[in-house]
Amino acid sequence: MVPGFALRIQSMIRAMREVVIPAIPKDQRLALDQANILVGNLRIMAEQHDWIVQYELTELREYAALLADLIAAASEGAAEAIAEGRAVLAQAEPVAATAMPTQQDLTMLVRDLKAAADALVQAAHRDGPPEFRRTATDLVMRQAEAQILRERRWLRAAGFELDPASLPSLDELLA
Amino acid sequence: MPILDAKQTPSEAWIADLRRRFPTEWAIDETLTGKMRRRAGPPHRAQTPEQVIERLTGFLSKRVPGEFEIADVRPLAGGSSKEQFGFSLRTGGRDERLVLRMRPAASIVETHPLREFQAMKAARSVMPVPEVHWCDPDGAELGQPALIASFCEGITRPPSEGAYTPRQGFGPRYRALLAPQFVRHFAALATLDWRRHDVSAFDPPQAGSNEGVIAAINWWERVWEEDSLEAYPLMTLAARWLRDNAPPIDHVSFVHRDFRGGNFLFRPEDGEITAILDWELVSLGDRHEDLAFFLSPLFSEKDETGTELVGGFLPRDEFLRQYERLSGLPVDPERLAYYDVFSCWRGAINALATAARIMMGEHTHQDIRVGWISNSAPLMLSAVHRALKGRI
Repeated sequence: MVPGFALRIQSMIRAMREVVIPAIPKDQRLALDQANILVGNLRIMAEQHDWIVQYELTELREYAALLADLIAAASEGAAEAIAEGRAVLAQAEPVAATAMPTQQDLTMLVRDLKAAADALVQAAHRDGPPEFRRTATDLVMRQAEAQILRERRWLRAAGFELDPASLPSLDELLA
Repeated sequence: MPILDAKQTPSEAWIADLRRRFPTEWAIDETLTGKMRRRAGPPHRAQTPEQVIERLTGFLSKRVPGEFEIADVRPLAGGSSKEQFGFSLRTGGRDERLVLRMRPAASIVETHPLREFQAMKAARSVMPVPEVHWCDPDGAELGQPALIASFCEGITRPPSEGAYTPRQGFGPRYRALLAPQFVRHFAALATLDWRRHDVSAFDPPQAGSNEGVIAAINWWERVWEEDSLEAYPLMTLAARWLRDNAPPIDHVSFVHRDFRGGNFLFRPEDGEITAILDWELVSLGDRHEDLAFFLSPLFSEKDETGTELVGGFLPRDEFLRQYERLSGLPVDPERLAYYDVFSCWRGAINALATAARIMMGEHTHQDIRVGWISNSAPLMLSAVHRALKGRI
């Protein structure tokens, strides 16, 4: 995903700081106040966006532990709440056990995979036998079709598409 | 924090390797080499009007006879690559509005101002182009490579709200007024006799040979190598196919490389085109490259009846028919198909690789705009894929 959120947010902060805020007349206090809050929010997003999944997972594990402890300590009078708690715990525990990479680790791993695949395509066309070249080409063309469709839908809101409604939903493409 | 990679701090050995692997025109080599040597440098800071006046005063005092005054310096909006200021030059009671175009530390298209300067001078003989007055190709005097041209009145699109898109939304009235002029200028560029002009910043390709096409592929593949943040195997396939299938150039023309709505000015009152702009990517090459880029779906619009109009102007067949009639040059479907791949591949390099790369170092005053342009990369890639399918 290029450019990633970190770069996009960095450029938004810079545009606000160097162009937009200096252009707001000093007596426009409300506009200045809201522009500065916008920059503050962008700074928070810049710091948080890599960690959103880890943050949610940490909360999930913490609450799962709390819920498990509460169930263990619960008296018989709370039978209905205990049953509901156990049902939710059963859903949460496999997720809590998932080892989730950080956003940056994931990005780097995807980049490594792309580079390795690209090196093979280059090798196929440099000195590979004709059948490998043919197969590599077909495989790349097939994969690119799926990737491009996903990227077009991912960036649909930018308004560059001539017929945006024709693109599949993110649900379908990211399932 | 954005992820930084080794390309952000290029070594001299790597730069030398790129130059060896991708031989291209001398001015392009000089430009790209300079870009790589500046890459690890500090973020770009836009000049203040006071700094601009100081530099202009020093520059113009060697070129404008007698006393002069520089006034009303204002940053100009529009354009994604160059830093631009409008200013008034007052000499002996005469007041001329001029534009200073300067290259920031990095740009979505890294170009040589002397090429732009020479091509604009030449093109002005056949179409409305701002008059270029001076050029500081290496920035020795103005601090950044720059050129100074006359200011032209006009607008690029009817007023509308919303973020930038490559579609201009001319509407039926302006479409009717602009389309005939636009096709005429497009055709005039292909027939302009560039041999009668100074083209010393270009290495003119030979007609009947594909060497110029290979040099252009080297230019853009080098940019991909220099700028891309991650591999994209489709881009590798496209580059390979382009090399293997490069056709000889049948007729060498100036190729603008961004000839479309949004890159010309017109008078809102009568729709007269007052200036064709953005000559920075200009080359000497095959006219089919300009045609293919203009015909890209990225610039298509639908009219009131749902008919697709290339560039927002005309149905494709009608546009090509008019172009052939006005230029007297044939449009070869095979070459057009080749340059459909080439121009979308080249556009994808700018949108996917260079945009993100220059945002990373805060090397342009237009970070946010080039980031927005990068949103067009999937459409460019889709066009590359469509053009390659069944051919590769």
